Amino acid sequence: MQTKMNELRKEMKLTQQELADIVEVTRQTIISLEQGRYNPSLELAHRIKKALKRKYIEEVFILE
Amino acid sequence: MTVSTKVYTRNKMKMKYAFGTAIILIGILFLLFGIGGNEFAGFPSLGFWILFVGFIYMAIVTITVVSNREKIVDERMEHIGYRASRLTTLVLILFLFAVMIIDGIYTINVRYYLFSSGLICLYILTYLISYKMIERKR
Repeated sequence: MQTKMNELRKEMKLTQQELADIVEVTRQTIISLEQGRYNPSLELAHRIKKALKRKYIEEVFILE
Repeated sequence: MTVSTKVYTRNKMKMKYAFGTAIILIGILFLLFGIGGNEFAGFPSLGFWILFVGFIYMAIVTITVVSNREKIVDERMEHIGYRASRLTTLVLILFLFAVMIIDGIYTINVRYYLFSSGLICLYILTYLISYKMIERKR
């Protein structure tokens, strides 16, 4: 799964820790997600999408 | 399903203290009634050993309370923990199988408490190592 989390987070001027606090996960999880090492659950993907102010999950995560 | 949970809540702490107190009380009862009066694991009796375990447990819980550590467990950590548990179980099964074979060749004479404590240590160690290994990949 590809992700645009990194660029969208920077666009929102959020740090990894700030995003982690919003979606209630650890910073390490945000790092893993941004590096594409971990695929989020549907619930977490929704939370991230909401935190990054996007309408669809596909704007953040792209299934290859 | 929640994405994260705060582990060290007040209720959990109360439960942990209650468990520690119960261990200490069992130790005192063993001492009072003279159950397991023989030397056990380097202690004069089983009661003293249970008391020692109880106090160590209470000390760990108190340190956790005093340091006021709030830990977040998210879904990635749960996922890693699940995989580490599976790997640990596999290692333990292989270890026990090896012990059975070795016992078939040379008879192993070890006291049960030594074997059990070794098994617990192996479980914890294997879990920690496999957790760290999986965490690096994920």
